[in-house]
Amino acid sequence: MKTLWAKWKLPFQFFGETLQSLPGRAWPRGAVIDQMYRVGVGSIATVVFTGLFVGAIMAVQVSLELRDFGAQGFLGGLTTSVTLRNVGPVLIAFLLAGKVGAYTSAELGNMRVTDQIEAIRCLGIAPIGFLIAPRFLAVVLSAFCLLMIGLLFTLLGGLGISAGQLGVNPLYFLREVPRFVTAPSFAMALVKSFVFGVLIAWVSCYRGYYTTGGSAGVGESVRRTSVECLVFILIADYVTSFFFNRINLFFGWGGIAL
Amino acid sequence: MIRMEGVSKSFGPKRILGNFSFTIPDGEICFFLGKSGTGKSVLLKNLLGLMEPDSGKIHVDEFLVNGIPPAEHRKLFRRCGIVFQFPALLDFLSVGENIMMATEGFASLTPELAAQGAVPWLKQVGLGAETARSFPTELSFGIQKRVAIARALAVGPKHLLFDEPTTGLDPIASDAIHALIRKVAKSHGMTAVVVSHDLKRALKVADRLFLLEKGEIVFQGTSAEFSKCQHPTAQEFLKASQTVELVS
Repeated sequence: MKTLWAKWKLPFQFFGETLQSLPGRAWPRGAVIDQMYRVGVGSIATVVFTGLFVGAIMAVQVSLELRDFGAQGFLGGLTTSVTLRNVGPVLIAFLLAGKVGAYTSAELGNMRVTDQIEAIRCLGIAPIGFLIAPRFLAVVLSAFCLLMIGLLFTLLGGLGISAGQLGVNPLYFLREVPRFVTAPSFAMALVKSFVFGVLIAWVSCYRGYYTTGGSAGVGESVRRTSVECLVFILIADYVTSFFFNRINLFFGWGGIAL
Repeated sequence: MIRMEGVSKSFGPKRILGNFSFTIPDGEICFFLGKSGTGKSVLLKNLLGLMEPDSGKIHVDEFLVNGIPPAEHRKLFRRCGIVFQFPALLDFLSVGENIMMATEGFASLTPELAAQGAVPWLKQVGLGAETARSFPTELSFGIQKRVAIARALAVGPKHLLFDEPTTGLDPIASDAIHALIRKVAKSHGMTAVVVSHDLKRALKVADRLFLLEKGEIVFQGTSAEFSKCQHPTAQEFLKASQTVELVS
């Protein structure tokens, strides 16, 4: 039982130590910006592409349902609302887990198996403050920014496909958006994007840092990072949706929460 | 001073270190020789507190290494520099930053200032100032090893530990690294603990040699004494070293 507890508490200890080390800023000068550039800038095109297609897919799907009720005027509002609150953040976070998470995990795993992390420790430097903290911060910030960019492009994707293929006037599409996309639903998208960013950073840094077993171990860490990120993102999506639903009901804000 | 008292370490049923006791006075260059799997690297990890022994005590100067608290451990790390078997330089930092990263105020150093600060350390290991701006992946393995030694020196240690310092190096680079170990240790008055299987070079550089066999220290003495040692493993090492000399 003790061993099991020790195994379970390790990720939380790691998370706590990482957060504690953030104010110390003991990392090399410019490390956060460098890391953001590496993981973030290279992912912009992929996120834009994904955002456009997620928005387009949602518009096509929702229009099929609305057509039966003759309610295509609601297409813009419903598509944007559902995409912004749920489908968009989740799908883009999945993509980032595979791209940003896998990169971070592989980089740290390789440092571990080539004794770079041990070497840092043997110089009297705390590896978590020196290596993990800037990566954690960079991944959280990059993932959040990328999710925001991705969500903006889901709106454009939905708008484009509605105007170009579904024959909906773009002005009608946009007119209904504020009715469905309220401040709470926008806040939900922001919170989800932040939570997903933290999860991707936490899992990828933890798995990379505790890699064992040579190059095969690095592969295993990357695999675990990808799988665990997907699972935790889905769980976090449910939990945040549930809480926002409760908050919506409590304050009587209305709107579609789940 | 480095001292081990009755240190034992086993992995499952396999005994790696069996009741090791020795003292290394300050400023001495000691080589631990042995075949692969005789516990040489485990010995170094125990000395640095990276691994806990099953029994026995390890002292490095005023530090008791067994169960050392984290804050004291960081001080111990700064007292004992280690050069790993592989250089273990950080790929994303320049050579200058790699060398300066354990120094005070590194977080605020620009790459340019780090390069300038690293020059004296690079000179000590026979490298030019231009190396400071390179990245580890642009350097040969031998140069990376020298940079790793410079990085260990920059911390200002009293003792230097080397884990198989010539692995992957050609004979000329191996000679140069061994000469460097002696030069650096003697010029700074440092203790050097070298784990190796390279007897030929150990005989030239070491003040004292230890021979490990099946978790035991089967010999300790000077190079001259080792040359006369009749232990079968010592004889094997001597014959192998002579064969290498004949071939080369």
